[in-house]
Amino acid sequence: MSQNTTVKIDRPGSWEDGRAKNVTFVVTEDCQLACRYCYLVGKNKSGRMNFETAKKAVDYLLREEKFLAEKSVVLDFIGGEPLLEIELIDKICDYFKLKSYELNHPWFDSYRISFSTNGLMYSDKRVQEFIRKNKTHLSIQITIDGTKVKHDTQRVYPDGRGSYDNVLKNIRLWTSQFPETSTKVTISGDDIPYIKESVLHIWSLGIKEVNINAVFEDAWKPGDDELFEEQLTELADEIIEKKLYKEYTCSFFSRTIGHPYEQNVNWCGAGKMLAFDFKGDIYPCIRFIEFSLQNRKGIIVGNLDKGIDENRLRPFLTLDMVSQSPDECINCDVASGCAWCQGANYDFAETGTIFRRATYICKMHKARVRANNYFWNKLGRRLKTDLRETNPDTCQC
Amino acid sequence: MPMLKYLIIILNDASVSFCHYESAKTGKKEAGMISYDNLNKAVAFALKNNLKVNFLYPRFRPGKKYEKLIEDVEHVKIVPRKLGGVYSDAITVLEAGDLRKENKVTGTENIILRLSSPELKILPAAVKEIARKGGRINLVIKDVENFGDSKISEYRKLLAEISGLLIKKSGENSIPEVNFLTDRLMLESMNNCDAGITHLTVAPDGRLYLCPAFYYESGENSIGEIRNEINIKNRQLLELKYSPVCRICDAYQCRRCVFLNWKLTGELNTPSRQQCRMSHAEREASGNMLEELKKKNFKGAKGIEIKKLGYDDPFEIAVKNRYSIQEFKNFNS
Amino acid sequence: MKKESKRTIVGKVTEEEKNEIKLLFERKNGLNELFRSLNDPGHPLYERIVKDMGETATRFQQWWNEKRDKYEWKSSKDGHWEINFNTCEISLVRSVSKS
Repeated sequence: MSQNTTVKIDRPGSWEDGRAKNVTFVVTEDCQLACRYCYLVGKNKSGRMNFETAKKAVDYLLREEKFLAEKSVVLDFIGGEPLLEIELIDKICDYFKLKSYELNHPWFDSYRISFSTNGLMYSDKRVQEFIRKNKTHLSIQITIDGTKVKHDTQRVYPDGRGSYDNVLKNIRLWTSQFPETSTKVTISGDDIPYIKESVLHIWSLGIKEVNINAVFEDAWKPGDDELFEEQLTELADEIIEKKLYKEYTCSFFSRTIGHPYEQNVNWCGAGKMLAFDFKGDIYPCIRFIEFSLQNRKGIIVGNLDKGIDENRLRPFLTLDMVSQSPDECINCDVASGCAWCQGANYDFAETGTIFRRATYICKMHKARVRANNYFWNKLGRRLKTDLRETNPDTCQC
Repeated sequence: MPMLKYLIIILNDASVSFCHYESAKTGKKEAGMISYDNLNKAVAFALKNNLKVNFLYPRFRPGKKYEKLIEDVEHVKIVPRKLGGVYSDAITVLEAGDLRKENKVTGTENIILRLSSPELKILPAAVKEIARKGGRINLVIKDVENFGDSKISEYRKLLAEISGLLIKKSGENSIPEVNFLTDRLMLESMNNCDAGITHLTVAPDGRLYLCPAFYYESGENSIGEIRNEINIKNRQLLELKYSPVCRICDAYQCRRCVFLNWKLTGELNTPSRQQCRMSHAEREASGNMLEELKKKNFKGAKGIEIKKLGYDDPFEIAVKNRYSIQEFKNFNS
Repeated sequence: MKKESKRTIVGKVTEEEKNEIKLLFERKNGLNELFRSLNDPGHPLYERIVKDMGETATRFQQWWNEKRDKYEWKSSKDGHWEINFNTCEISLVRSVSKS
């Protein structure tokens, strides 16, 4: 039996194996929604990027030889809600295409444009025109958090109304245009009881890949891990019984999680990626911009006038697992797949450092590992094969 | 793990700086002084914890009451040139402007010399003078942040010139000591400043800091009051083991200044490009000097080897070759 | 009656060959989308882009012709070949009726 073709559940695709340079343009700090779990605590209407700044960012990226170490680039547009600035994004992409072509830059032959959107404006004429113009380079992800109940628990308008119905209107158009697309689900506490039905619901909408994260914040109550494990176990049963593993993927179940660490790698790519804000400041990733941080000042590693201060990037580029993890994590028997976010670590650390890993997620990870073991062992028995494999310490962000 | 060995007590806001920071330029005699109560507390803390004290002096003598208290504890006085002749047991800090008067100052066999990059040209003369007196120079460069490519290249030339001087003055077992060139000849492991690990600082505000530089940068950098249980948050970041760049490095003479790290890279455990390249220029010059000294049958650096490297910044290696988990677990500070 | 695609693996190319066609594929798409963005015959780059589009399309087709001759893949009148950039596998994709 070929595992790769029969069991698809933990095989999400990643363009260029995640080795492209990821560049984030924070085009606006505004959003129509006020999601309860959103880490962007300082959303506002005034932080909007203008074209001159964006142009400078593109020129800078194409000019600097050091970025050529990465043969490909992902232009990631983020907010707030990025589609609020679709006209600007369109201009930036046009400029990038033209300039990289004019300069014979290798990125002209290897780029992608990426968005994560709340989906409310997806059917807007300007958005659709943009999609038509850039179709083969585009990856658009609409966030739908699961069932209406789960989605509307968190993803609400400032007046408290849920956004599910308005997002759903655009889902069919989106999946017809991007059939291989995925969505991102966030679990933050009160929504644990809806996990199983939410994953199944999303798949039923034609979205075949679901990437789920439990929040990194100190949001977990005693007993949450047990409830979480129960939900994942029930989901595992459903996937096995209905043979859904053949067609769908869900990041909860992966053969690479739940092993001791074998390699000393950082989970997060902050610093290898770069983010530009509306002021033209450069950050290691969006999570280091002030409007993403609750407790700390932003970490600026440069600006478009002076370029990057290499000294400010050194901590990010040398940061490894052992230097930031408590001994308990380094020696953990089920460590692999336990995620962290460098920005959240920095925000929660007792001192302003990126070298201290937040471990609020520990019990949730262990619960996930137990459910994951359950899934692969049971599926292996059903398929009469050993589906577990040793840990390659896959790094995702 | 090394433990606390000494305290630095800044007697006055305008006390002499002996390191990479600037202290307050002016200060009326009494205004910037540590209070007697706070000094008493700090001295008592030192006595109770078997700590020696480095007192940082301003340009004037503190009152008799203070001096009596200072004498109660084992200590070193670190003084500006103006007080150089006053105390027989003091270490004098000299600035470029003080140097021409240096031979008039008594008690200056061991000096701390603080220079900025444009002032480094006077270093060969200072080395000659100190070598003549059989003393030691601890050089502190005041503007490490300014050491870009051209300054590093000038610094390399200067190091070569001074190496030549030292080789000439060396004997079979001895060599005039200048920290940035001769320390590496004697070291088999890191000899860092270890602020926050082997020493803490009491500032004139009576509070504790990792080192004086953090106090002068901002009072918000205090790590707390003087008390028996000192809890330095994320203290592990001061240790060599938790610095991905430094733990693989053998520029053992580097002071690994956590203040400069923090100021230039934002992290206590990550050295700047300037710091690493300067330390590697020094290391390389020490290595070249050692080869020459061996030809002269020098026996003062027994067992020391300084290998040639193919890089001038260990950052490049830290990024390329990740430390293994086992290496980390086996690391012995 | 609905139509659906039927996919059969008919061969494999080398990693190097895959990289050649991947680059041409990316360039072809890039030029098409650049052309759509530009949409201005007066633009100084217009001529260059048009010429490049033609040359790239030719090289693209040439690759398929060469590889077809080299590997002698199974073909079909109502089908076309596709390459999987992850596995270097060539599939014959045919449109078949679904009852």
